[in-house]
Amino acid sequence: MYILKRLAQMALVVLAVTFLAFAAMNLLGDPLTNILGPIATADPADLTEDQRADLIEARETYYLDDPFLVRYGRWLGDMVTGDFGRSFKNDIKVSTELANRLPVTVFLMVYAQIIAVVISIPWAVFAASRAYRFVDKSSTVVSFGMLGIPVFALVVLLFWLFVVRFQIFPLRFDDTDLGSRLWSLFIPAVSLAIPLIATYQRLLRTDLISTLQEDFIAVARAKGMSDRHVLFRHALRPSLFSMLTVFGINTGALIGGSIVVEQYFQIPGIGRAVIEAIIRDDFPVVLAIVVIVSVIFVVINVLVDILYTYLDPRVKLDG
Amino acid sequence: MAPLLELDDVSVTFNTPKGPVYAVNNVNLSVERGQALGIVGESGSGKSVTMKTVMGLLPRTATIGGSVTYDGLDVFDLPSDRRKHFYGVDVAMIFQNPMTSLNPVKRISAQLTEGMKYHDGLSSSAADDKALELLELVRIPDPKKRMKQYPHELSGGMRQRVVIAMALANDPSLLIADEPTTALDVTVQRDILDLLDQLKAERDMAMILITHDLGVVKDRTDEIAVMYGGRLMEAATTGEVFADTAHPYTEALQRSIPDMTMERGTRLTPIEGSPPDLSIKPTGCPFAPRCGYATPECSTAIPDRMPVPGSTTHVFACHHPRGSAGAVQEVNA
Repeated sequence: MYILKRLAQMALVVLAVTFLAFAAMNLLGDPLTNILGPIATADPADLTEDQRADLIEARETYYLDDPFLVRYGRWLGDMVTGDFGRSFKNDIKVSTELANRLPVTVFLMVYAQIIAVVISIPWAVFAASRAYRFVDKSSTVVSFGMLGIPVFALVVLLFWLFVVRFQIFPLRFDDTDLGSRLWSLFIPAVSLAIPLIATYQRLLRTDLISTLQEDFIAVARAKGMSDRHVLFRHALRPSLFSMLTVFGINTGALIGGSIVVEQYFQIPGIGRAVIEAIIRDDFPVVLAIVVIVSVIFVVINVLVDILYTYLDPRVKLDG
Repeated sequence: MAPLLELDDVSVTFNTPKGPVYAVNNVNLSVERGQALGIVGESGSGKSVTMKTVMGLLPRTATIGGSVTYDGLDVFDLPSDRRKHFYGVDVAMIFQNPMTSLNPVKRISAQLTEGMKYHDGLSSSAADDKALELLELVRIPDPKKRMKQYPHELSGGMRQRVVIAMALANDPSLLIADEPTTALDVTVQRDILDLLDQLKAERDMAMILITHDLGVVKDRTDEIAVMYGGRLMEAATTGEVFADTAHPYTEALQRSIPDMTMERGTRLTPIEGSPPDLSIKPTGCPFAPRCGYATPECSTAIPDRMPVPGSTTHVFACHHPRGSAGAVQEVNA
C-alpha cells in the first residue's frame, strides 16, 4: 500500500519535472533556429525555394505549429513509450544515444558510491570507537579537508598525479571488459567518492557516538561481547539513518559531479552528453537526460525509504 | 574461604572539563558464593558507578583506585584467557531500564543467543533451544513467538524478563542487578524481584541487588551496604541493619519507606535537602548537612569506618552512631 502511494508520488514529481524542463527549453530558445540555423529567422522573401521547403518540412516534422500544451502532451506520450525523439543535430534517435551513454554514467555513480561506503563505514566506526581521541580528531581534520576541495580541483589534481605524473592509470576510458572498465574509471570514481566519503564518515561517526551511549551497548558489553562485535553488530545498524538519507540525496550531487568528471576524463556518459547537448541547443537530448536523471533520483530515494524499515523494524511505512 | 567478589578500598574519580568528580570513595564490599548483597542509596550515591567499575563499563575519563578481586583473581588484571569469559560468564549484569536495555533492531532470539554462541560456541540450533528454555524459565508467556519478535513488540515487564534471561544465558556465578524494577509498573516490580530471588536460589548464584528502596532488599538479601555521597555509610547483615541501625542515614531511609504494618495516618518522614555535590571533596561526613544529629565536628572530620562493638559483620562511618554503637560511645564518653 505504502509502495503504491510512493509510486504515485514519484510519478507526480517526475511529471512536474518533465513539464518544467519542457517549458524551460521552449522558453529559452526557438526550436526552429536550433534545427535550421539562421534561415529560420530570415525574411522568407530572401530564401530560396529549397530553403522554404526545408522550413515547412521542419515545422511539420517537429510539429512546431501546434500549441505548446499539445506539443508537451505529444512529447510526454512518446516518452512514456520509450521514444525520446530524434536529436536536432545528427538525427540519431535520442533513445539509442541514451542507451549507449546511460550505462557508463550509472556504472560510474555506483562505483563511486561503493568506494565511498566501503571506505567511510570502517573509518567512521574506527573514529567513533576512539571518540575525541587523537585518531578521531585527526579524522575530523582529514574529512573536512576532503569536503573542502571542489570536485573540479580534485579531478585535476588526481589526474595529474596518477595519470600524467606516475602514469598508473590509463588516460582514456577503456570499455573492453569489466576489469578494464573498473581500472580506467578508478580515478574518476575516486574523485566523485572523496567528498562522499567525508560526508558519510562525519554523519556515521556522530550517530555512532550517540548510539554507543545507549544502554543496550552497555548490556552487550556486560555480556562480554568483543569490541568489534559491539561496534559492528550492535551499534552500526541503528546508526546508519542519517548516512542512508544523505546517500539518497547525494545521487543528485553525483550526477552534477559526473558532468565535470566525464568532461575531464573524456568518458562517454550522460554527463558529457548533456553538456554537448546544451552547447548545441539540442533540446530532445537535454530533455531526455533531465527526465532520466529525475527518475533515477526519485527511485533511489524511494528505495532509501524502504531500506529504513530494514534498518529499524520500528519504522512503519504508512505515511 | 575468600569471598566470591571483593572490593577493597575502591575509589572512582571522573575527570570532567569542570574538574574532578569524586563519585566513589574508599568503598569496601564483599559477596560470598550464593549470597545476596543489597546496595542501597539514593541517586548519585555511587552505587551504580561502583558496579560499573566491577563490570569494566566506566568511560575512559574515570580514574579507578583500589582493587576488585573475583574468586581470588584481580579483575583489573585478568589473564587473557580468563578475561574473554569473565563478563557474561562469571559475572552478568541487569540494568535499570528494560526499555533501553535491548537492541531495538535485533530480534529477541539473536540477542539471547549471541552470548552463548560467543562464549560457549553453541550452534545456532542448540543456542535457540537454550534461549527458548531460558524464556520459559523467566516465565514469559508464549516464548516461541517472543523469540521472533523485536523488543518494541514486548511490554516493559516482558523486556526485563528477556534481559534477565539474557543475563542467565551463560550460567553466571554472580548476577548484578542495578535497580532492576525501578522503571517498571508497581504491579510488575514484585514479580520480577520474586523471579530473581527464585533464580538465585535455584542456581546457587550470588546476587548484588542495587536499589534506592530499603524495602526492596529487606527480605531478599543476606547483607546490606548503605551508600551516600560515594561513600559507604553502613554495612552489615540484613538483620543487623534493621535491628541495630548504626547510621543516622540508614535510620532516615527506614523512616521514609512505607510499611504494611504501619498505623493508618502515620506520616512518612522524608529526608530534607538534596544529595551532595560530588565535585567538591568533602571535609566531613557527606550526610552532615541533612543529618538531624550533626554537630560541628561532623563537617570538619570525615568519620572513619569502624565496627559496631561486639559484631564482626557490622561496620559504620559516623561520629554519632545510633543503636548499640551509640550506646557504647556514650558509656565511653
